[in-house]
Order: sequence, then C-alpha cells, then structure tokens
Amino acid sequence: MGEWKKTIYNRWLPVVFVAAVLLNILLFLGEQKTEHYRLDFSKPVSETVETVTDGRSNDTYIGELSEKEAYRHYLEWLNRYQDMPLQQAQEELTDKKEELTHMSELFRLSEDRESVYGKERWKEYQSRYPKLAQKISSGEANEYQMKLDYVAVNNLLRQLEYLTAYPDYLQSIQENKENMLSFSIFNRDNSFSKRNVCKTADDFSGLASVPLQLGADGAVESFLDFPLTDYFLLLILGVCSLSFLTERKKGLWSLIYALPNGRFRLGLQRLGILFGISCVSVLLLYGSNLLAGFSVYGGIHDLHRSLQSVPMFGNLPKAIGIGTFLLQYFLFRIAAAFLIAVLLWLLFSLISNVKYTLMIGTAFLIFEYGCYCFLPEQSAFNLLKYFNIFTYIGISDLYTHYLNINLFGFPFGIRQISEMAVVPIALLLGVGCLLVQVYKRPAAGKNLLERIAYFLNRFSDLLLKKLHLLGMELYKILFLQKGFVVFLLFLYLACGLSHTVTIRVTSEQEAYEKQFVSELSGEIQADTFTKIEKLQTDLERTIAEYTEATEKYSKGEISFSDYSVLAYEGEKAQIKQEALQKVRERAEYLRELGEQKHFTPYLFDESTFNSVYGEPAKPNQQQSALLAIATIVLLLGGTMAYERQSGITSLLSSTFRGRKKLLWSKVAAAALLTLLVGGIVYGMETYAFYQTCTQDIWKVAVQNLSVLENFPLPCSIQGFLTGLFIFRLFCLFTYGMVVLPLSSLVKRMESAYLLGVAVLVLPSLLYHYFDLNLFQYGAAVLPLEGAALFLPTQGGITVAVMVFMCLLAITLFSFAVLNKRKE
Amino acid sequence: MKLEIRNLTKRYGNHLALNGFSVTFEPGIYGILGANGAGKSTLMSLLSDNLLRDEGEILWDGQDIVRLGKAFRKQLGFMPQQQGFYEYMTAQTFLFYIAGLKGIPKKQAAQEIETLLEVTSLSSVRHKRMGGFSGGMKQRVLLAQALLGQPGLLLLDEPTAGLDPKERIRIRNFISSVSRDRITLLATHIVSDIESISDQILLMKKGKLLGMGTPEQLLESVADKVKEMPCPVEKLEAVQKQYLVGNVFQRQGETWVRIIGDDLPDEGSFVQDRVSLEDVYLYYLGE
Repeated sequence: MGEWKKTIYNRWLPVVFVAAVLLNILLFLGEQKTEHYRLDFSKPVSETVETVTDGRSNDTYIGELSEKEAYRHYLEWLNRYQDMPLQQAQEELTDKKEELTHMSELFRLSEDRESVYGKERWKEYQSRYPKLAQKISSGEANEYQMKLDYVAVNNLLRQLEYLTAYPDYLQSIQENKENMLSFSIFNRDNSFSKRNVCKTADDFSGLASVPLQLGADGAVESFLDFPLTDYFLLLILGVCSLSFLTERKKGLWSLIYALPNGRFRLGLQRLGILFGISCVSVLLLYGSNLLAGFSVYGGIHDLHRSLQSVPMFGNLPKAIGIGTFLLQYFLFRIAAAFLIAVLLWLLFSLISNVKYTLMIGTAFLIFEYGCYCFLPEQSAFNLLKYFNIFTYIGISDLYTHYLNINLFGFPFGIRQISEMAVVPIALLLGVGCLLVQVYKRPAAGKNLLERIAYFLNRFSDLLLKKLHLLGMELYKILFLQKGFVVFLLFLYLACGLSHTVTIRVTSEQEAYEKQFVSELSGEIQADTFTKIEKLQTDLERTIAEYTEATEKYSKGEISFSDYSVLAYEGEKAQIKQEALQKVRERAEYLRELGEQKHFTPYLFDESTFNSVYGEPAKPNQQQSALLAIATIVLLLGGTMAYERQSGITSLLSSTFRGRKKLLWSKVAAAALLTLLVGGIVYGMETYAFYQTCTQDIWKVAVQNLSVLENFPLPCSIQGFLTGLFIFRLFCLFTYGMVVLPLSSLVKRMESAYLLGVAVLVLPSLLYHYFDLNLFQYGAAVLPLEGAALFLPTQGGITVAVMVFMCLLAITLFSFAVLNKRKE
Repeated sequence: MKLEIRNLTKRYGNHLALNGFSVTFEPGIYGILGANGAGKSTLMSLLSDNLLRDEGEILWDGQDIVRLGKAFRKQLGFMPQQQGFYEYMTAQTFLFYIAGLKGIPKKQAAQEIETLLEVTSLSSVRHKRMGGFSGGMKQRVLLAQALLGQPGLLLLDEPTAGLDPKERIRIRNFISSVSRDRITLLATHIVSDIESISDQILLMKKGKLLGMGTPEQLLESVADKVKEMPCPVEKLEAVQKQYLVGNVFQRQGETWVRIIGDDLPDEGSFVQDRVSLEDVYLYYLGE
C-alpha cells in the first residue's frame, strides 16, 4: 500500500490528473459547440439567386439558428424515421427536403413582394406551389421552424444516403476484386497485391448481411474524434512513470535497492500501479467524453445498432454492435494505456542519470511521432510506422481506416496486429521493467550518455564562457529553466493564430456601398464628388427608364420579359442610389472633418482594417494577447525563484556585480524576451493587415477611420499602427516586469508559474471565456486588445495606468532584490 | 588590510543569534570554532552582507561595509555553507559566470579558472554538469569560485563539511597555501580542520565570543584542566554523569577515561603535554 500512497501523494500526479480530466471535458464540450454539434447547416441552393451582390453571402444557417435547438429538432425528426425502412425513409425525406427548399425560396421571395419584379416572381412561384404559398401568406408556416426542419431533414438525408449506398459500396469492393484480378499486375501468384485484394474482399464480404439502421451517431463519432484526450492520457501516464524516479532524484536509489523488498516486489507493485492508473485514467477521460457525448447527442438507447450504421465505421469490417464495440474499445484502450505507461517507465528507468530522462523521453516521442506521421503507408519502414507508440496513443485511426500492411509479402490488417500485439507487448515490456528494477544497479559506472554529454558540453562551454551577464541570464532562462520548450510551443501556437476575420455584408445595400467606395477610393477632392454626381446621374436615368417601362407595361405596350429586365435593373438602381447617398454623406463628412482637424480626407474600404483591428476581430485579439501573456509568465516566472530553488542567492549577492548589475541584467533579459514574444505575435498581425490592405492606405490619416475619427494625435494609419505596436510591446514589457517580483516572492519555480498564471492569465480567461465581469478589472488582455486606445478618454487612462504599473513593478522588483537579505 | 567587528548583534525574533560580538582581524587565517547554533553562519552572513545587522559595526579598512557596498564585495570571496548550484551548469561555465559577477576581465578569468581547476583537481571534470558531482567536488568548486579575483577577505563557512579525511586534509592544506596576505575566516565545528593551519582561533558559544588566541595559547589555557584515569566499566556511567568525559579508551586491558573541566577527580594524572584542541573545544564549548 505504501507505494500506492507514495505515488498518489506525489506532488504532480494528483494535480496533473485532476487538471487533465477537467480540461479534457471542458474542451470536449467546447469542441462540440465549435463543430456546431456535428450538423451541416447548409442552406438550400436557391434557384433565384442572380448576382453575387445579392447580399445573401452567408450560405449556411450558422448565426441564424440556435445550434442546440437545431440538434434537438434533428433528434425529434430522427425519432420519427428511425424505425422506418431505409428506402422508405429516404424517399419521404427527399420529398420533404424538396418541399422545404421551395418553402425557403418562397420565404425569400415573399420579403421582396413589394417590388414589381419581386411581385411577378412571387406570382410565378405561387402558381407552382399554391399550398406552400398559402401557408406562408396565412402565417401558418414559420420561417425559423422551416430552417430547423431543413437542417434536420438535410442531415438525416446525409445519413440515409450513406446507409442506402453502403450495400453498393460493399458490392463494389467485390467487383473491384474481380476487376483488379483481371489485370496481370495484381494477379501474380504469391504477390502481396493479389493477396491484399483477396483479403480486402474477404474481410468485407462478412458485412453483406449486417442490418443498418438510422440513429444518433454524434456521441460515438465525437468520442472517437477528439484526439486531445489521447495526449492528456499520455501526460498522466508520463507523470506517473516519472514519479517512480523520485528516489533517484533524491539520492535514495541505493538505499531502496539495498532493501529486501526494494527490487522485484517493488517492481511488481509499480506495474500494478501503472495498470491501475491506466484503468482509472481511461475510464475517467474517455468515459467522461462518452457520457458527455450521450448527454449532448443522445443515442444511448441505440447501442444495439450494427457498427457500420455509423458512417465513421464504414471501413471497419467487424460485424458487431455499437455497444460491443465500445466495450472492446475501452478494454483495448486500457491495454494500450498500460503498454504506453510500461514503455515509458522502461525507457526512463534504463537511463541511470535522472537529468537526462526527460530529454531522452522527449527525443524518443519526437522520433516516434515523426515515424508515425511522415513515413508513407507502405514502405520498407512499416515496422517503425506501425509498431509505434503513437499507434497505441491515437488508436481511433485503427477503427476508421482500413489498411493492410505488407509483412514479408503477406497482407496483415494493422488493426488486428495492434489488437493482438498489445497484451503480449505490454507483458514483455512489463517483464523488461522488472528485470531493470532487479538488475540495474544504482552504483554502476559511467554510462555512455554521460560520456556523450561531457563531449557535447565542451562545445557549449566554449560559447558560454564568452557570454556576459545578459547572455548568461538569457542562457539561464532559456536552457537551465527550460524556457526554450516554452518558446518552441509558443512559436507553434503563434503560427496557428488567426489574425483576420471575414466581415460579411449583411445586406444588398451594404454590398453596393462597398462597391462604390472601392470605385471612388482615394483622396476626397472635387473630382470625387464629380464622379459621385456622374454615378448618380446614371442611376437616375436607369430609374427613369424603369418608371417609364412600368407605365408602358401597365398599358400593355411591352411584354413582361422586356419589362422584367428593366424592372430588375430599376429596383437594383434604387438600392444603389441609397448606397451612393451613404457614400456621398461619408465623403462630405470626412471633408468637413478634414477641414476642422487639418488632415487629408480619404475614402477607402475600412473593412480591411476592421477585419484585423476592429470589433469583429476582438476574439482573435484576445487569443493573441492571451498567448503572449501566458508565454511571458512561463518564460520569466522562474527567473528569481530558480535562484532561490538552487540555493545560490547568498553567493550571488555577495559578489561585486551580484546585486544591481545582476538585477538589471535580469530586467534586460526579461525585456528582450518579452519584446521578442510581442514582436512575433503582433508582427504577424501587422503582416496579416499588410497582406490584406492596399498599399496606399498606409499613408492615410488615421482619422479617416470611423473608429478613430476622434484620435487626438495627427498621424497616418502606419503611424498609428506603429504606435499601437509599440504600446503593446510596452504592455507586455510591463507584464514581464510584474512577473519578476512575483517570482521573487516564492522559493520554487512551480509556485512562481502558478502565481504568475493566477495574477496575469486567469482573470483574463475568466472574463473573456466564462463571461465573469468581476474579473474585467484584472484582465491583463484588455489593454492589449488595442480597442482601448481607440476611445480618447479611455485610451489616455489606459496608457497612464500601464506606465504607472510598469514603474511600480520595476520599483517593487528592485526593492525586493536589493534589500532582501537571507532570512 | 583590516576587518573590524564592533559589538555586532543579530536577533531572530526572541533568539539572540549574535550578541555583542567584537573582534579585529588582520591578514592571516582565523578559525572560528563553535557548536551547531553558535552563530558562525550568522556571522558569515553578516560579514558577506547577506544579512542586516541589528546593532554594531563591521568596518573594512575603517569604513562600514554597507556603505562601501560594491567596493567591499570586490574584495570578498565567500564560500557559503549551503551547496547551492545551477545543477545543469558545468563547472567551468559556473566559474566563468561567477568571474563575470565579480567583474573579472575575461582573459584574467580564463587564466585564474585554469589554475584553480588544476589546483582543486577539477580539470578532468570541468565540462561535467555539477548536478552529477560528489559532495567533495561541489565543495572544491565552491572553494575555487571563492578564490576567483584574489579576494582580500575570504569567508569559508564549513568548507570541509561532508568530506572524507583525505579530501579534508587536501582542502585545508590548500586553504593554508592560498591564505597569505589575506584575511581568511574559516568557520567550522571540526577541530582538526583549523588545528593545523589557523594563526588564531576564535571560540563562539551562543552568539558570543568566549575567547581568542593562538592554538598554543588555547592549549596552554587548558593544560591543567585535563586528566586521564582508569575507570571500571560499571562506574563509567556515574563518571560520565559527574564529569565532562572527552574520551573513553582501552589501555593495557583497562578502560580509561579522559576528563576535562575545572573540577577534576583526585585520581588520575594530568595530561599537560598531550592536550589537544578537542580538549579546548570541550572545555570551553562542551557543556
């Protein structure tokens, strides 16, 4: 029991375990929301959309429907058709979809009934679908309900299309076999190709009689489609395996090894612990995903369905039910988790020197991941690709992809190999661990790793001796405190940041406004208004023609087909006229403002600016800021705590430069790293803007932007963005300076990181992602969003607050370091 | 070169760690002998300006060390008791780092480090990370860094803690060889460390300076305070309760005891010419 207790009370394991389970379920649920509950929200294809500038540039119902409600509605429809024969259900739903498509069209046309052209189109559709038109006119049909129905029906049809086509798919595999064997290249005796073709056909032949049924597939699909859980599991197992090395870190290995139960029995206990942790982790992590999936998607009563009823498993030639599959999956997962845990423990325990454990472990995982991802499916290095730890980490692929690999000319299903091999390999590794536990002696001589490390250290020492204090501080942060890992992770995440949003037009008029602005873009001069007048004249002429044509048509002088063209153009011209008026007003306003505030008025499309820096881009700004702040906390958090943890503070402070000079070196190192992080994040953002905008608007006065028309300083957009960039770097520098005194308050690096996260990251998370307004005042992300600067008063206050914070942080840090004496 | 300590006092809450400590040091080796908790490390921390004093003065060449600040620390070589390291740094890199902090020019630092690594027998492991060093190797690295920059004042706090006898002899011989023309303070509770190399020995107890003198003077002071006498085993416990027993040993089949103190038994004989610093330690600090 002692070893169990020692493992569970290990500092990291419970924390990592609880954090992983909680984060996993939160992220899983968040993912379902992001994936729109796995529903296709496509709108019906319109028969009457004529031009790109129709205004309906959004071709899905996302934003128009509540996704949760849409899913519930889908479930209601599913219940109606679930027990129906598939063909019948498909036919009925196809008819229903068509009906809903017509209804969608009628709803769209009914909004346009006031215009003559719209009226005629409405009449045409009314005659084609009188009952539907009647429902809309009488108010019996509800557009929102129609959209919900359409989404439900469309998604059910997608499922039915797969289900009804599946027998044909199976048949095609058999036909394919015959076709391929008719070619000599595939028909060579004793060749892998022939055997593979035959095996594939045989494997799938067993599914011909499997009954397929419609059902709620979301829970099972989402359960297998969330790879993050696999990495949480890997983290827990890694931490558990590492915890067995505590005795080596504390110098107790030789003591424990010398005890009667310190070898084999201890090894057995640890294997038991690994198995227990594997079971508990798998059940909690994956079980919570599954239960969450059932609670969101339903389908817990459909587990008797055959597995191939779920499209994800169409390529899995196993004639079992979903429930049976889930049970087998969990068992396999537990076995795979145990295998991973034992492999990691074996690897770690083979390395005598604990210092190299993590490094070797990471290198191993990187190598394995590289082989797993980048080796081709069929290659001479199959073994490296498929006998790979990541095969047992991301096992979902085994069930969603059918693949036979070539082993000595014979095809073997990778899934079967993995399933059959997991227990023997795990046992073998377990035996290996026991052997190491029993026979590897603590006091064994120098090992190869030490010699290699010594050799490599020669070269690093050559470089390091040339470094001055600043260089050494950077070295300490990046290498001794493993900051480079944080930095690499930061780079990876920064590359995935999105800096622009697509700003969609919400109406036809808005689309025409954009078009006119684009045409008239440039410095606002007399010439601009001349162009506007010309456009106005053209529009008035079109409208006049339309009015004339209307009169003629009402008198029967022209046919409808002739009239409809003029009517369409005329109605468009009326909308364009309104749009042009808006543009004229804007140009006049800017001209006046320019005269008042002495800047050159300029007309241009502001959406490129707003797509990066405006309100629509706020979520992107928050993410970028959060990433930058979190990186700074993790890079700099250990700066002072590391010295205390190493027990070297008194020695350092007794040296000539060990106080002020060292202090300023640390501040300079922190500043450099902070600026680097900020430079990368906001440099990428600026580059994103540079790519989307036209070159000439850089020089335009910033007051030409609606959001910045009250900006007090006369400068160009380029100047403003430069100032914004510098201000953000300054904010990040301030946060870096806040992290340093926080770090000096604690004695361990882990505590310093937690403190930094609690002060700088957590309030922002709680405010932005959990909508807790109380944390608004502590949200470090807010000043970085940039929008704070856009408003004159708020901007000034923000700048003043940040300057004060920076000075205070530096003062506190200096005071803490210079006057602190050993307790 | 002179280090003066006047009436130095330091309190930790109600506990008086150093109580009116006054002494003057000139070039030479001074052993500071005291039991655990006598105040040796507190004294070292105060002298290295790692601790603020409550009362008193510490003067280096007549000037307060706090006021001197960097100028004083430039003269200082400090070897703390606690073996604090950057365990992922190699020995060489660590010494260069400390040399940088001491303001030693790179070229000079390279020469000194080369010499010190040689002298402390660390040349063969200079590129090894210190996390893998034995206790003795760590002590030698700490000693080497204290000697960087030719400091005028060398503070060595328990420099031989945890070392085997051979290494201990090596370290103290090395200290002796490098301690001419500087003030070296060697704080320890291991008598043999300072017996052979100290010019003067200070005896500390409960934060106070009990006495100071050359080894010969201190030995002379207890010459008539040490007796040896035979003691049957059954009386041993009673004797140990009544007197301060320094040693119990066997001689010609009999058990003998060595007793130190002012009140000695009538039996036995004085060991005037065979008194040791251990007897001195026990006499002054052994209660």
